[in-house]
Amino acid sequence: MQRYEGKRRALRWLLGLLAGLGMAAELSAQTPGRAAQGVPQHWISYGEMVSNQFAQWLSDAQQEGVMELHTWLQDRVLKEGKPPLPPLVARVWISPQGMVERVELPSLGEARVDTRLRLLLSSSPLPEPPPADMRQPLVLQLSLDFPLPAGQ
Amino acid sequence: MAWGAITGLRWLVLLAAPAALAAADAVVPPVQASGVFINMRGDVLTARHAVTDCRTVYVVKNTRVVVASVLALSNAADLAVLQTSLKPLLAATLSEQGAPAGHSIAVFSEAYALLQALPERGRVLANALTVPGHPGELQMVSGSRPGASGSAVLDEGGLLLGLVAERVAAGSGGGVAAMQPGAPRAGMATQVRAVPVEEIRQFLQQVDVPYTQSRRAQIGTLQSPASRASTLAVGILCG
Repeated sequence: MQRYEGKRRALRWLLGLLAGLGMAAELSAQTPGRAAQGVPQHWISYGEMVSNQFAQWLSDAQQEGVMELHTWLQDRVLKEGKPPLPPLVARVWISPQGMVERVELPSLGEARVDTRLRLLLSSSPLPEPPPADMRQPLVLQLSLDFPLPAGQ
Repeated sequence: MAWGAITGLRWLVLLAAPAALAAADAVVPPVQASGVFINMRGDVLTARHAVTDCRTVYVVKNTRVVVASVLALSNAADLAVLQTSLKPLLAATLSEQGAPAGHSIAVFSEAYALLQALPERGRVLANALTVPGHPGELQMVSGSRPGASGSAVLDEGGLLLGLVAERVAAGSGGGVAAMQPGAPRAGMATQVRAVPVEEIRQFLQQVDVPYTQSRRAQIGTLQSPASRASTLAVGILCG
């Protein structure tokens, strides 16, 4: 239990924010600012909402699998000495009812973790259905990182 | 969209074509008033009367309840800003233009607790009409019920037009009552006064609370203001 509480405290700094928003047909993940030009405001607003919801789901220690993902991310850097993951580009399809129907992500290198991440992003309904005219997939830049301890 | 075809309150709840989200199953604590996220740092705009004389103010969002501190109270309008540790998914965007004074428009406003339980929220496009002829004010005819104090008034583009303050006439008329639990319930449409967006903007500027404003719709045609209101809304508990 004590160990679990320790991990919960660690969660506060484990996950960075999701950032970057775009609509697939018009966007390149490397240039989110330029890509947002010409995108309707209500698409942008909806995309921000989805992005923030994903960030909350991935930071919620009560969600099954979040601890596992965080531990994997931490161990990857601190124990295995690998560099932090670069930002990932996620392509997300949302149903008219607001369910995340499909998530495409580059592999993190471990099938179990890939599956866990997809499940975390698609298990619950989004708070709002998407705009009917919004192009899909929604493209989000996903940053899974954490600050290294001092001296590292 | 044929708003002009609306001839009575019975038809005020308009349903959009396809999209539908089931109402949340979560149990909502017995909140007494409502509020709306006004910026992404988690500040909440609400009605001043909902938080005065409270020893402790709690803010409720979904399953989270946090203690809030009063950041600012307006002397001129029924407005208050609360500081919370909540992280909003979105914050309200103030309408640059406000509600038109010369004609009525369809809007959406609902108490937090009722909004969370609203069936097929994703299909509701409006539940109130503004009442023209009140320069400098925002009045509307709605089915607003107790607990609506501090709830956002959103236009069809999801922009904030005002904040519900009080009921000024219920049914056949008469009386002014704060819209909190315990206040008499109207059996039919109620005339409600909201603090207009111009006063909200002035207040937020005076107390240096960040906000965003726009003329551009934040939701699309046939996208539900009720769903957006739910994303933006919080409940207020006076302890």
